[in-house]
Amino acid sequence: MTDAQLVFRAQAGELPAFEELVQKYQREVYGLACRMVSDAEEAKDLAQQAFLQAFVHIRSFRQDAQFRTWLFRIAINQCYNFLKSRKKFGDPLDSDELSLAGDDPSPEADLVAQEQRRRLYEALERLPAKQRAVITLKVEQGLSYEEISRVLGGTAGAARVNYCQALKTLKKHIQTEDDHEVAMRSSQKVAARIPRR
Amino acid sequence: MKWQCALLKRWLPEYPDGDLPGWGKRWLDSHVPGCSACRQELAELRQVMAAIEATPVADPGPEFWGEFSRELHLKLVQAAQEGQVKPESTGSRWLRLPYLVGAPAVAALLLYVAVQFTGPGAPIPNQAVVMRHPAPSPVQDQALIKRKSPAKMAAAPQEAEAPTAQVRAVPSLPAEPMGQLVTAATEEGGPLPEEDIDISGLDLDAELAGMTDQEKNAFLDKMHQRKKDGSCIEGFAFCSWG
Repeated sequence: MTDAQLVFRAQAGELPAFEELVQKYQREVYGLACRMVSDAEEAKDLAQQAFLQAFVHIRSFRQDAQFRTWLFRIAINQCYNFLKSRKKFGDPLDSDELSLAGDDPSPEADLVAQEQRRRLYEALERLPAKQRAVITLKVEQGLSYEEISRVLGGTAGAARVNYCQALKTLKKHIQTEDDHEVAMRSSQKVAARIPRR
Repeated sequence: MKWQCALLKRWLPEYPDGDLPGWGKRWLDSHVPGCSACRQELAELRQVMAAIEATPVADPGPEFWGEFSRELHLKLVQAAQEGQVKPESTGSRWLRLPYLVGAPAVAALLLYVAVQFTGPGAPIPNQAVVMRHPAPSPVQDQALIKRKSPAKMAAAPQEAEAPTAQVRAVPSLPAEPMGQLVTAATEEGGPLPEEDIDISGLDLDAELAGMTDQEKNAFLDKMHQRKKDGSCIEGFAFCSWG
């Protein structure tokens, strides 16, 4: 059954039809929220909240737009609100929490991947929320600039500029961290060479 | 070459198989192989994109999704039972139409009323001609107070209490030369001459207080007539007549 049919039935008040839409998009919405807030538990709450809001306002959805982009827009708005409140109340970030949700049974074999993930998330954390959203929507969800502009507002050109800027900033952050690590390693080596009294 | 690099850098994330216009792709095809800076930039951007793609959000597993669905189902059922589902909003655009049309109409009405009652063509209020000096000095104020005889000050309330007791003639309007003096003094912003002070608003109030309604109307009609003739000049805080 297509999205349009499911939405039509959900608008008529059929809860199972809406739950089918939930099943279809829950991973994407959860992934988006994870990337946005870097917190697995919060991402789960935000994804649920996004679906709830979509259900409450399903009758205002017009079929001329895609349900998926409409849903993403709701999810992004939920994330923005959360980030705003977190900024306001100063809730500390913990990028390690996210990896707990996807822990593999053999952590030793996955150490490199975990380290890479940690560095990426730390770099993503330092991006402005809008650029983080653009990166996630473009790279992970595979949306076009036109679709991104529908989700985030603005124009497709603005989305393209945001994406380029986000990639550059991300690259800079990752490189800075690499340089920092290299410096730390070399300093440890130098420290090891110094004889202890 | 550098200006080309600056222009093309924003297309680099899409190169070679992204969302690029044909001319942009051709331009990049010809530029990138010969430009080491752009090649390096492209390689670094690809590394970043690869890093993002290589670290997708880990799937939390079936248990997580089971719990997610259960919790969400409860929330959805609760929302449906409490009638939180908003009605269709397609009609709301039409419902908003009266407000969209009404707001400018109300604004135009308010503007019209404001112009009618405060503009140059506004009717003269019952206190009629309030004559104000542009900026009366304390000395002038004292002179005014002195000029008001106690008899006049006492007479005004008495006449107001019994307006029909004595029918007085409509006061004759000041002669033409005095009006000119008043106007000239106002234009120059200087103090008013002695003769003008005699016809201040306080005296007129006293005169008006002693009139019957008919007399007042006749007096005000005359004032209007004068104004239409152009012999009465009204300003923002000043009115004089000749």
